[in-house]
Amino acid sequence: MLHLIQKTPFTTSALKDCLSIANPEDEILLMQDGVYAVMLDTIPPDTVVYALDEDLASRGLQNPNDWVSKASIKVINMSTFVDLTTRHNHTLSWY
Amino acid sequence: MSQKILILARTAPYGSSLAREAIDFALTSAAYDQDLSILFQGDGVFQLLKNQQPQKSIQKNHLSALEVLPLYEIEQLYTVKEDLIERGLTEESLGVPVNVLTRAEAHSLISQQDSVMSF
Repeated sequence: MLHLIQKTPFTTSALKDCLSIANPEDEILLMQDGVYAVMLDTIPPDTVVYALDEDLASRGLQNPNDWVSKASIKVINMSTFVDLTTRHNHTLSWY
Repeated sequence: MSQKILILARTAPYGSSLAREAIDFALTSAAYDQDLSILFQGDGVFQLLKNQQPQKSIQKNHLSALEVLPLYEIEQLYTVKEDLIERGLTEESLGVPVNVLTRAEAHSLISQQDSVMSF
């Protein structure tokens, strides 16, 4: 399953609720205000996490050296996002 | 008569239009010669981050909007130290000069106002 985190983890429970039910084989994509999760250390390091490049750049978070998260986060573009959605049977948005 | 007005900017930029609307309200109030301050609180501190590059997602640069505020004599910009730390940020992370307050000082700033608008 592919989880799309769309809201800030600091003022919504989108990320927390997702992590509470996600399986180890699930993948998580941070997009829109969800990319602020790179500034938080709550994603377990073994989770597969992607973040959308244009949403990071909009918000001034394009430099991984500025991030707080210890999870290994892969920066992807819109066309890789499309590939991800085709690889998973289910895509779930968290607001 | 000039009123003391505080804009409480509590939301991140780009995810919604609220951050932009706060700035629009500030510019409108400045035209009416009000005593205006802006407090960036909670996720609002993300509005201040430097290196914002929203061109790829075809949005207007929020930091550029903040940079013009001094031209309208809106110079009292504040943020909250604890909210920066919670989000892994320091004063060096910010793209515009702001006064960094403690939460107690922020409370006192709010209590001095005639009105407070929350965005």
